Amino acid sequence: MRSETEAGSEREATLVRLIEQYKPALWRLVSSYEAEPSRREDLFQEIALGLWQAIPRFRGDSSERTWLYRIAHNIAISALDSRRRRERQESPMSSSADYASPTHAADEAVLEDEQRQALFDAIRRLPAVDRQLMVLYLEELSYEEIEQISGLSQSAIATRLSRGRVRLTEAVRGKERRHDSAAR
Amino acid sequence: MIPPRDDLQQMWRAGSGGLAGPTAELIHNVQGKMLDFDRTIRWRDLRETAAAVFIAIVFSWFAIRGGAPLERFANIWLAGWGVCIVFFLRRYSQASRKPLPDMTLSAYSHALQERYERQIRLLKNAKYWYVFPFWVGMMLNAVAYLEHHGSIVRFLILSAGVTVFSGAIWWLNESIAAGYIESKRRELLARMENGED
Repeated sequence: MRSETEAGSEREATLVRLIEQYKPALWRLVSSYEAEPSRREDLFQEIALGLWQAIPRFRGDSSERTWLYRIAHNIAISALDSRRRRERQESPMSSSADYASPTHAADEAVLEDEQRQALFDAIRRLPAVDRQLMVLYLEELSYEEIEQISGLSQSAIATRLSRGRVRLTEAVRGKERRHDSAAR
Repeated sequence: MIPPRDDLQQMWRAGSGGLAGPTAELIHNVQGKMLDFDRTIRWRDLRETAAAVFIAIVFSWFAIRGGAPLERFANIWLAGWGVCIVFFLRRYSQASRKPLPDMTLSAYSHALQERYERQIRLLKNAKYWYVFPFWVGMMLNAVAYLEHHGSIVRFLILSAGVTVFSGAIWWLNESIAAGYIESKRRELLARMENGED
């Protein structure tokens, strides 16, 4: 029988591997929920804590990737809910536009950065369910995987994704148009 | 077949700027949070148990110390009420726990709403498991006081005080606390379906 120390080390090694492997994807996911960098860090830690707690429960019934996305999204929803409850009595936070790049610079890199910012802002404004589906789509998961993670049917996923894509494309194009008129 | 990446996917992939710090540091922070979490749970359990033991000891002592049979009965009743409160508080804390995040996203959002609903039910039922038994115990004590001292005025003051206090607890649980949680539940539902900000 394995000792508790061995199990603990194995669990830690699994967490380190998961974080290393999925760090960029998890960071993008976190950015789709939180605009402010310090909150992203906090949420990232919450997700890592959730994974740490969930590792012993993973039985391989689904792929590691779908399991990880389920946990990450569920923790993000829950953490956001808790934070909003805490902040309800406080003054409203500054909008995500505070973290946007300068709007009047004219070079292409800045435009790309602004568009990316507009994309993340638009994702954060989506209803929670659409946001989760959109993030999974943008991470290039298949419809089967999204179905396994979300529990929604593929037709429902397709409808919501189509609606979400239109909203996101409009947001990015809107930013492009504003950038162009500012440059003129 | 995986479709070719569209513009949104390309833009999304490029959005990993400001990535979280080194993994070792993150793991260290996670372990710290884990210890805090365990300590919080242990402290809460200890606090609840200590409060109930205190109530049970105080009223048991009153019962043992003597007095009329009705007064003893009232104090034993209140000691038993203290023990029952622990049971219900533990149930309440279980109902307040977040669901496990391993489930599908739709199952999880249902579970979050059910968690709110459980809390609301428990608060609305507080009149049965919290307020009424306390009121009965204290009223029995008041009647025992009347029998022993014969002062109707003090009996009336004591009864009114206990009733007003019990009514306030009932109102706080049923209107304020349950209403607040209900508004949270509605907010969560709205956020899930309609978006926000």
